[in-house]
Amino acid sequence: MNTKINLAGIEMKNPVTVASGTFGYGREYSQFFDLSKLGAIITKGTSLKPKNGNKPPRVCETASGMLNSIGLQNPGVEYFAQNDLPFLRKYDTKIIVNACGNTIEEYVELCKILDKLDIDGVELNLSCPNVKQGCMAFGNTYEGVKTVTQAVRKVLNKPLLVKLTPNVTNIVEIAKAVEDAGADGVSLINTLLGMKIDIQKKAPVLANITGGLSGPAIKPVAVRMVYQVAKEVKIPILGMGGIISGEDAIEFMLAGATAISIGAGNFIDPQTSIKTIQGIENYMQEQKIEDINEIIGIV
Amino acid sequence: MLKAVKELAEKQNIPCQISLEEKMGCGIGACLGCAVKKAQSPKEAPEYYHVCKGGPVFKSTDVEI
Ligand SMILES: Cc1cc2nc3c(=O)[nH]c(=O)nc-3n(C[C@H](O)[C@H](O)[C@H](O)COP(=O)(O)O)c2cc1C
Ligand code: FES
Repeated sequence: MNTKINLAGIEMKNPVTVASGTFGYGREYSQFFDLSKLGAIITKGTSLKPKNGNKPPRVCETASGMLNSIGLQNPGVEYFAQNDLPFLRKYDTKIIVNACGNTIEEYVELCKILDKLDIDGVELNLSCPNVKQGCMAFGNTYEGVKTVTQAVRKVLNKPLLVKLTPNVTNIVEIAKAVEDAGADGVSLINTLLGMKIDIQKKAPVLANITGGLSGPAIKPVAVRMVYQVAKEVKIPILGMGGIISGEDAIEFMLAGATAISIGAGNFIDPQTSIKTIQGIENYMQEQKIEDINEIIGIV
Repeated sequence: MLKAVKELAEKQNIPCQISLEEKMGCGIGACLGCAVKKAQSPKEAPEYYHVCKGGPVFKSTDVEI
């Protein structure tokens, strides 16, 4: 049975990765399982300079999901390179850095640094709904996505994925911008912009007022977007949004994802990613599938 | 309540520890959801502890609630 896949030039032992921002830089989860079992680890969104993040409350629970407005709190790329990367490199898994910035110049500077580090790829975050400038501001339009991606492509030789926001009118058009700009793959989807109100306090629950919705609640939206994009673009897709089991992962792969990420699912059970790998293998056995690549995009 | 206790203790110079709660995502220090503001951190760029890992018990003088 073969579970190996190639995502945008990154050879992975299985299609299961952990989604940016839900897994830190791996340390906390290494207490629960051997990180070498994962296909890849996608780091917390990392910027050129450290970021302190948004005011609390930053998270809250919703029906079958959660809202977050962390605000990309991270220690900056230099700290990452010195402290977290050596730790992650002890494991036999691929390391993909989720990169974010406020301006094109920041994205470019950051990716110049990332290109020199011992990492396997970059996931460009053009989709965070929780910071005032940048990110989603670029991710909203064909031109914005194409301009940033092209600028980064010029300085980055490593595999480049671009992560898109679902908060757009036409996801296919935006995904085409990624392809046209020469990126190697597209990550779908980041969180859906949402809001919750405390009816006792008569005020928003999150200090940031709005936040990103993730978890099983968003899975049908994510599957639909992966399906639509897979039909129209040729570059591979890293699919995510509400995956908590092998069955969920298979659904995304049938829709056209080459690999998948587990996000909020890690919060329900720190072993969700490992159980998902097992679930995929069980499905392959039941269905007598020799190679996982056979099922990508067959629906 | 905690805020009142914190203020009272600090006014009287009594050492005080408080056990905080915040809404949590992961509960293990990975998601950075459960932030609480560090005392005396700059207003323009406030810094945070995380209740699940740095706490839940803090010296009242270390945090701003
Ligand atoms: C607490 C939290 C923090 C996140 N931080 C990031 C981030 O730094 N960069 C990013 O691209 N996506 C971030 N995301 C989005 C996830 O990577 C993922 O795209 C989204 O949550 C959908 O997947 P899920 O439903 O499995 O969680 C974050 C999500 C959560 C819940
Ligand atoms: S709940 Fe995730 S860091 Fe505290």
